[in-house]
Amino acid sequence: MTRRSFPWSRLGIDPTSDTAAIRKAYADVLRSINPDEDIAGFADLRRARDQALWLASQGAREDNGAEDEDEGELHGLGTLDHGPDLAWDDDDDDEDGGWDIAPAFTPGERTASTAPPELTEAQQRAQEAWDQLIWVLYPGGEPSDSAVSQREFGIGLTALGVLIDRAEEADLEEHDALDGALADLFARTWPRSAPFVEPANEAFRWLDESGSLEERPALRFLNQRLKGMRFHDKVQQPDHPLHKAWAELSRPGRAGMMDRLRVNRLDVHKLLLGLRERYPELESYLDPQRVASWEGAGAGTAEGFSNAGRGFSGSVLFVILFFALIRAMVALGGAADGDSPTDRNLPPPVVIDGPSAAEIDAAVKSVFGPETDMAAVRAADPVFADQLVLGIKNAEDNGGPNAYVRNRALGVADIAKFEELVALGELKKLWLSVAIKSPGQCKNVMVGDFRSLPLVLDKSQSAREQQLMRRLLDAKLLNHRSSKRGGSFSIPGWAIERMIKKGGLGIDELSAALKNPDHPKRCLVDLTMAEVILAEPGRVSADVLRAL
Amino acid sequence: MLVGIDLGTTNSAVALWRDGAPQLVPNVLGRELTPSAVSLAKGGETWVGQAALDRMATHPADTATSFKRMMGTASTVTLAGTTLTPEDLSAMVLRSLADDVEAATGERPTEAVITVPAYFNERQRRATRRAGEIAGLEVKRLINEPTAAALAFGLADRGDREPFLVFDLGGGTFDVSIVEMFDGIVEVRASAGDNRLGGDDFDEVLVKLVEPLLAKDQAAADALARLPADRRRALLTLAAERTRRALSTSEEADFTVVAEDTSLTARVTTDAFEEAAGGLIKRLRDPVIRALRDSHIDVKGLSDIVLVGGSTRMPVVRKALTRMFGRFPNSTVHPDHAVALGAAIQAGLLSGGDGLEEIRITDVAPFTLGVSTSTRDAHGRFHDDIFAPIIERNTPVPVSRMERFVTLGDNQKQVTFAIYQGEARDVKKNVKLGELTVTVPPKPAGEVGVEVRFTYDTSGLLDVDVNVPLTGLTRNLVIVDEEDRRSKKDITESRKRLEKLKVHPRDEAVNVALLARAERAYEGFTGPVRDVIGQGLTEFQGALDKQDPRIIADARDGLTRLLDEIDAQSPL
Repeated sequence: MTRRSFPWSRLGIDPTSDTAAIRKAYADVLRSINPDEDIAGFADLRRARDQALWLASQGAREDNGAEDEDEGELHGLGTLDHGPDLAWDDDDDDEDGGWDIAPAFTPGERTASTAPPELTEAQQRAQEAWDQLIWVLYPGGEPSDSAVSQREFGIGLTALGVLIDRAEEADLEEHDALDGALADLFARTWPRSAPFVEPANEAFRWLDESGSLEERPALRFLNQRLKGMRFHDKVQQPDHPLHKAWAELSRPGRAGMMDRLRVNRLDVHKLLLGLRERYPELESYLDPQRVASWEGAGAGTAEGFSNAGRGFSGSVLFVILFFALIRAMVALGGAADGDSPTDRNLPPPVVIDGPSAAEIDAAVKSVFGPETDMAAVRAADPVFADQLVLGIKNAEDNGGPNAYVRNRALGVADIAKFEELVALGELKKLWLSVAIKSPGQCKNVMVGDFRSLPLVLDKSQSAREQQLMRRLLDAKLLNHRSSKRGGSFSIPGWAIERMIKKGGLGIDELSAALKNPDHPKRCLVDLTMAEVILAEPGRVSADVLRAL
Repeated sequence: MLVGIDLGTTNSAVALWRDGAPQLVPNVLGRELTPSAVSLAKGGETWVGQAALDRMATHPADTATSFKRMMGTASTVTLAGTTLTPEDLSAMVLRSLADDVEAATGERPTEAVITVPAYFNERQRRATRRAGEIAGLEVKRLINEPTAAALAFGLADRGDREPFLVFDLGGGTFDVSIVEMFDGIVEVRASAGDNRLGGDDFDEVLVKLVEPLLAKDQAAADALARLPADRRRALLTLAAERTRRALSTSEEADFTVVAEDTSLTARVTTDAFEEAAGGLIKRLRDPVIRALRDSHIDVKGLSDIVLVGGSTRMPVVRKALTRMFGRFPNSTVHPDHAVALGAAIQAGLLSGGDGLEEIRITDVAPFTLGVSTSTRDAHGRFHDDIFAPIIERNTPVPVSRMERFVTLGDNQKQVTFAIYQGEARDVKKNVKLGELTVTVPPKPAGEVGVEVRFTYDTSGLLDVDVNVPLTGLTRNLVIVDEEDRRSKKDITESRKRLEKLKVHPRDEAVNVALLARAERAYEGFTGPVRDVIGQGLTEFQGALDKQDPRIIADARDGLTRLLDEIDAQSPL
């Protein structure tokens, strides 16, 4: 007897490419064992059989040359094949760690491929619909973060309808290919694709796959947002249990005493916790300052709201860590990391109706100057652009677009770098210099309440404000929602000296004003301090600039 | 004696391996299919099968059907003051099937192979085992329904077969299996399904479709509305089932119910039904795609689409299938018999039956099995309830797999493994099968390793071994949960409960069934037809009172002929 190596040794035959012989050998060995008593032997035998069949197919492949290479190609929908995930049983793409949102689609590539000639009429219609959908989702052949217009929405929806009808009629393979291609396309073009996801889900039952071990990466991305959109719709309804909390947190500015009495603190925290866990992208609808003020208040007493320490009680721990979990976390596309609220893939859902484009542009120009329209804002900072649209939409609640953006500007202090801190300081100096003329307004500037503060700027002040705002926009800071406020800092001696000189204040009066925000001279002190420090910003630390 | 039983949602059947072939055993009415229905009356009088189904129209509150859908849940049914579990009800059907075998062979079966939907989870499987035990049958093996059907299909000619797909749509469950056959080896490559989808759902769609149509006739609609809810429901469901059957052979059919002597009719077209059933048809697609993906076979690689289960007779289903696969399905196997015949083949295999020496079956685990784990992310936050699979679904069984875990806390004293079955990342959405705790030596987090081995055998038993290499401590658990801990006592109690119920003597069963049928027909008609049935009923009851077997037999034949005639003429 010749010595054979695995898999042939297990099957008890000589190497062969005859699949029938391999199967027969497998059957013979299987009949000679009792799998339940020899589980390892059974597993071994299966492995041997599968390996032998694979070796046989490799041999056959060499014999036939490359003839059967086209076998797996999708008929009819050749041009759908612009993404990597269309292959029939290729569901291993979890491995590469996360859903890559960067558009793989390039118009140049697509025009190069032509539809195969054997397309049926229905397939041709589907093909045209697909092209229209692409046209809607990639305006001008480019990826875009802006919302679809009413007209584009109509065209896209019709095209999607044609594709869905086609999928209903098609066989399993074509259906599956369309399902995968649409999921892929919508994930890549999010948030522009947002209004189309719900109708597609209805046809392809995408949400059914939600939460399953095998959920496709594109669907994991879309389903989460789909649920987010649904929650967003629901929470707008007055009868939703968290509606009040939602409305409260969407209001700009800090929460006042009355707000705290009016709204249930537990609900607010429940909403925030739930939102951050499930739909982090929705937090951009909320006002950061309002959120921060509620969180600041709750932190001391709200035990159990924070995740830390949950289920962790020292001695008896019933939790374990799975080695492979690390691997799994990577494979799951960094479900934990990729979906964090700072992810750039998470602009808020698209708003279709609301103020007209012209109205929005006018509002935007009043904030950033005549050269900056909505498109320019979007180009500079797409995330903030969506927030701004919402801000303008709720302009009445916000006290107008200017007030809204001023308020946002105050929030950037804790992440801004030197240049922008100076710009912010200049802005505050500007506002204070205007506010100091009417009593009470100064206080509003200091606490960031621009709603009740109609700052009247003259032309040159206005231009200056627009210029500074534009700088903050270009630095992509305005989308930042924060924030820490207050804190102590020390003013350098040289600055104190100059302030005394410049403002004509006594040292006692100065220190009293600095300690008491309601001091009658506080406004003057703040303005003087801004002037003194901004005259030589390089002489102070960033903390001082930040605290201005 | 070992028998094979198809315990279905709508119908059940029993078969034997005899003389080198599987054979169905007819019931007392001479039919191969026994409706899975149970009806009780005050005082413990019991009807099972066709008679019980006929009582559904006349005594809906005391009659249970489709209880297979409740298997593995804690729900119970109260019929005529007796509270029964779904296992009890199933046991009554099983017992009636065993009676039929005893009558046919003279020998009482003691062991059984019972079929379950491939997509039944462990709880549902255990409930099925318990039902067998309550009925006094030792359950030698639970076999998946599509696997059984594949056996019946494949063994018909014993030829080798490239992978084929078994599409099994029954009354309440839906399974898809991909099976291959060569050299006597029947190999299941993958199974998928939906254990909440079947003919019953199509009936419901039909009821929803006709309700607005029926409401057009105000007086009749009011009559229907005045009926007690359970009776209205039963009448509508029965009418829907009849209409659905009628739609299998014609383009349109009348949906007819009789309420308070008023007959309500609505015409249903195939197109309208098809449109209304669109949502259900869509749900047929996912399991097929899943099974194909898991087995790495594409549609073109399938040699056949084999239809099993009564609901595959529906043209709307066949049409959808033809579209999905781009070809006509194979309907050569009897959709209602194949599963029971396959169960008998499995029974023959287990008992070393003649002519089965060369046959072996290998099946797969239909669900993923694993444990619940926690982890801490980069920010130090805990994430609980994460499902860590150990045996992936559609792995060939028997299988044994080991995974290693480590402690998450410093000086952790013990580790608890909660064992789950399912496909969701969050264990809370999966089915919990049990729990096992081991103590570990106190050490810094991550320094204590624990090995967990899952062994899943061909009869579906999951064996869990936990080993702590540091201390050499091992723990073993053959999956036991709350229900199982109770089950020994439960089974005895259930048996006692069922013993109190009075089953009609076998020689009376035919008469009892005919009475139930005539009563159902009486309720279902109005006018002169009702009078004729009433007359027939009175005559038959008179004959029964005389207690002369010959007179009874004559009267029975007469009434049966009458009812057959009426049935043949009307949609009812």
